[in-house]
Amino acid sequence: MMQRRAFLSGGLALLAAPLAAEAQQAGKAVKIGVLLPQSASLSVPMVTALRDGLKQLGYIEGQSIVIEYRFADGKFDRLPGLTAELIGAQVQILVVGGTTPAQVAKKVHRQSRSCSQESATRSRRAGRVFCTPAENATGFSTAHEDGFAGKWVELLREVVPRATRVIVIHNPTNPSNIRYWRDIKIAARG
Amino acid sequence: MTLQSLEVGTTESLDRALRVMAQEYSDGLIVVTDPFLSAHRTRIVESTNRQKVPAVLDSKSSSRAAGSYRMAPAFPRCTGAPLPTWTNSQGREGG
Repeated sequence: MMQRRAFLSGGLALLAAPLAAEAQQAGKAVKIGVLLPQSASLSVPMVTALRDGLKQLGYIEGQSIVIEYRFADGKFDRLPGLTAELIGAQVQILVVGGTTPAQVAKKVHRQSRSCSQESATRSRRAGRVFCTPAENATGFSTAHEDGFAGKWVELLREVVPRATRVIVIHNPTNPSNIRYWRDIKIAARG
Repeated sequence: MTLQSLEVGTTESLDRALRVMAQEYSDGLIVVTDPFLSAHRTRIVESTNRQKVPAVLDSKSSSRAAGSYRMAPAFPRCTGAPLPTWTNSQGREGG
């Protein structure tokens, strides 16, 4: 039974080791659920890094850990269902890639939980590093300082000094993109 | 510099954005870091290559595929700000 499920956004972090240690002491493999927004093929670098990192910490897939993977293939409407699948598979740790998928997964996790523990991460401003676990959620997110996205404009100007018309593709549903778009507009005026 | 904003958060809006890219002239393209956009980077890169527009993309793999430029932060750290890292299509990095 899943009494405590760690929720990691962006990568493995602080809660993985204690949980794995508990399970290993009990002689059981820790079951990890990995949810990534891309296709399996595009996720290869992330999956490889995750496996390598776990291996360096002594966690071997198929031995001390079992990993269940779900890939949304860029279809974010699939994220709630995939999260529910992993929860139904009794994973003890959820590793979710990306702020938006993590927010969706946390919501599903909260709604699906019938046991008592509060799981949601305290509301934090997107784009900040999680240095300490918040309840049973932790991880990292990209920590760009204000003005960072203006560097993209500077880089483009270096490549195309006479650029006068630039298309910017951004996702307004992602809180960090709102900041990036603001930074880009400021830099473009400069 | 005039910016044209293309808001993309669904496959339908991505389709629209790619159509706009194909139809309208631009001197350059910036694709902001976002999990949805990353998940669809193959389509965006293909479109960028067809238009032969200089692009700043969000990931090393995208920029290599497109022969474009990428700027992304170094691995985020728990203390202090991440160091910005520039990587060009050959994977060379600078501060």
